[in-house]
Amino acid sequence: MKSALDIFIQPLFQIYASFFAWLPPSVEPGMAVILFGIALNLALTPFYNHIERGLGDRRLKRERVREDVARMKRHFRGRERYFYIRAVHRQHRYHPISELAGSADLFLQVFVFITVYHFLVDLPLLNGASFGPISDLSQPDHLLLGINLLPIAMTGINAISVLAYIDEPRKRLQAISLGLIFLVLLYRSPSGMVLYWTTNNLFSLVRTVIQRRQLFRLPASLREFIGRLSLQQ
Amino acid sequence: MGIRARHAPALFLLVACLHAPGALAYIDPGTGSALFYVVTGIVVSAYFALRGLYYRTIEFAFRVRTQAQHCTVAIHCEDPRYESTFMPIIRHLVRKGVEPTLFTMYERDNTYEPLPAGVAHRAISPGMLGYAYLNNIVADVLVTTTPQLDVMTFRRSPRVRHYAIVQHALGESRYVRPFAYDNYDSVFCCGDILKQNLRRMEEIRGLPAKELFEVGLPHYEELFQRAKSAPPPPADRPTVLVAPSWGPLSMFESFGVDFISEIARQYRVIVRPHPQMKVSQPDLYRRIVALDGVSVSTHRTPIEAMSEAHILLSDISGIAHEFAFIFERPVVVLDQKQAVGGLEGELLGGDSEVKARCREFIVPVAPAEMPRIVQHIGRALRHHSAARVTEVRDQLIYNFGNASEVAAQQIAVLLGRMRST
Repeated sequence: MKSALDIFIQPLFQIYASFFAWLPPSVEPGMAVILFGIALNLALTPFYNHIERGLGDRRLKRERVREDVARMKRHFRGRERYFYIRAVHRQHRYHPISELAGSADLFLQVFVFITVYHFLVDLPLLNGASFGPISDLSQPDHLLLGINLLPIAMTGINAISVLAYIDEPRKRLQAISLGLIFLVLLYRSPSGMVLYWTTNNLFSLVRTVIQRRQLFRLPASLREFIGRLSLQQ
Repeated sequence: MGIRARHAPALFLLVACLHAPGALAYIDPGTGSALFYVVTGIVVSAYFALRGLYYRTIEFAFRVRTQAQHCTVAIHCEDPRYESTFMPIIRHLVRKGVEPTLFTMYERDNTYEPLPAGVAHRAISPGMLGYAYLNNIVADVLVTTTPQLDVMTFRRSPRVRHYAIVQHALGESRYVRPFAYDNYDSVFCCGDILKQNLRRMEEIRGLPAKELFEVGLPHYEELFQRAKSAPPPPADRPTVLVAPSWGPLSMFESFGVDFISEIARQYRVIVRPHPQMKVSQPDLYRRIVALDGVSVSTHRTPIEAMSEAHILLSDISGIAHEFAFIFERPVVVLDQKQAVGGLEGELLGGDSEVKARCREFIVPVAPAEMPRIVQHIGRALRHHSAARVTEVRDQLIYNFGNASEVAAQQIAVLLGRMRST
C-alpha cells in the first residue's frame, strides 16, 4: 500500500525539492518556505478556481435542497417526513452521496497538501535554520514566553478568512471550530511547517478578498442579474 | 433525522482529523466546508440507504403478481365515498365499449350500486398491502382519486402506461399534501384555478408539463340528479342545515352546541354531525343528538338533509361547495384560517382563490362573529342570488352536469393513444 502511494508522492516530492534547489542560496530557509507556499498556491489557483466554481453550483443546489428538506422537517414526522425528503431529493436530482462523487478535485487538493506536509516534516533545510525572531524552524517557535505564536497567527488569519468568506453564522462557527481543532493539533509542530500554513492561509485570505472585490466592482444591475441567474439555475 | 444523526458528520470529521496527520490543517475555509459536506453526504446516504432498505423490504415482501392484475383501464377507488365520482364515469365508459376493471380498497356488498355488465371488480386490501398489489398491476391507463403517486406507498407500476388523477372535490392544489399531483401523467382538472396552480407548481419545481384536461367534477352529476328529484324544502319556515367537520378544530368543539338552540329559535334546524364524530367524539355526538327542537340527519349521504335546507352552516369547504353549486343555495361558513404549512399552498402563496370567488354565496364569517350567527344567516338568505351562483359555477367548474362523459371520453382517447403507440 505504501509503495503504491509512493508512486504518486515521489514525483511531487521531486517537484517540491526542485523548487527549493532552484532558489538562489542567498534566500534563507524561512523565506524559501514562504516563497514555496506562494508558488504552490499560485500553481494550485486554477484548481482552486475550478473547485470554487463546482462548489458554487453545488452550494446553490444544496441550499435549495436544504430549504425544502427543512420545510418538510418543520411540518411532518416519521414515515411521511422520510418519504417527502426522498421526494425532495428526487425533485432536485440530488443524492447525498453526490457530495462525494462531485469532490474529486477536493481529494486531489487534500492529497497535494498531505504530500507538502510529509515533504516539509523531513526537510533538512529547516534543521537549525533561524528566521527573524524564530531561532530554529525545525522546532516550535516559543516566541512569547514559551507560547507558540505562529500557530495562533495561522488560526487568526484562518478566522479572518472565515469571516470574509462565509456569511452564515452557523457555518462560520463550524469553520472556526475546525480551525481551533487544527490549532490544538498543530500547536507543537515545527515552526517552518506552521510558517508554510500561515502563508497558505494568508494567500487564501488575499484570494478571497480579491474575488469579493472583483464581484463588488461590477455594476449593481449586473450583480443583480448574476444573483437572479443563480436563483433560476 | 435525529440529533445524533445530525451530529454524526461533525463527530466523524473530528475523529478523522485526530487520526489524520496535521496535513488536513492546510484546508482553507472553503475546502474545509466542502470536506464537511462530503462527510455529511456519506452519513446521510447511509441513513437513507438503511431506511430505504426497510421500506423496500416491506414492499418486496408484500409484492403480489397475479393474472388478475391485468387490465386495459384500471380504476382505483380508495374509499366508498369516491364511488360517486367513478360510477358515472364507468357507465359512460361501458357505453363507449371500454370495459374497465374497478379496484376497490374495500368490499362491495349488495348495498352498493351494481356494476354495469362487462366491468370487472377486484377488492384489494386497504393500506400497504393493497398498494403493493396496485403497484404491480398491468394496464394501459390507471385512473384514481388518490394523490401522491410515487411519493409514499402508492408507487408507479412499471407496467402501467398512463396514470391519471380525477378530482373528487373542487380543489385548487392548495390544501393538499406535498407532491400531490407531480408524478401523474395527466390530471383531470375540475376548473381553471386548479389548472393554473398546477402549472405554477410545475414551474416552481421545474417539472415537465403534465397533460391537464378540462374535465370537471363527475360526482356533482349524481348529486345534481338526486337534488333535482328531491322534494323542495318546506316553505313555511327557512331551514338551516348545520354540518360541520369533526375533531379539535370543528365548530362544535370551538363553540359548543348552544348556538344551535339560538338558531332554532328563529329557524328550523337540521344537524348533521360528521360520521367520524360518533367514533372519535362520542360524548359530543350524544349531546348533539339530544338537542331539543332540532332534527338530526344520520343518512349515509348528506343529500337528503341538503335538499331540505334553505341554507347551510358549516366549517368545511367540500359540503359548502356541493350545497352552493348543486342546490344553488347560500352557505355561511366559519372562516377559520386554514394553515397551509407544508401543504402545496405554502409554495403557491396567497389565499384560496376559490374562496374569494365564492364569497357572495359561501359567506365567510369570522369566529368572533359566532354570537351574531343568526343575523349572519338572515343576511345571507336575504342577499342570496341563485343566478350569481350559476354564473360563478360556470366560471369555476368545467362541464357542470356533463363531467363524467367528458372524463370517459378522455379515458377512451388515452386508451386509444396507448394502444396505438
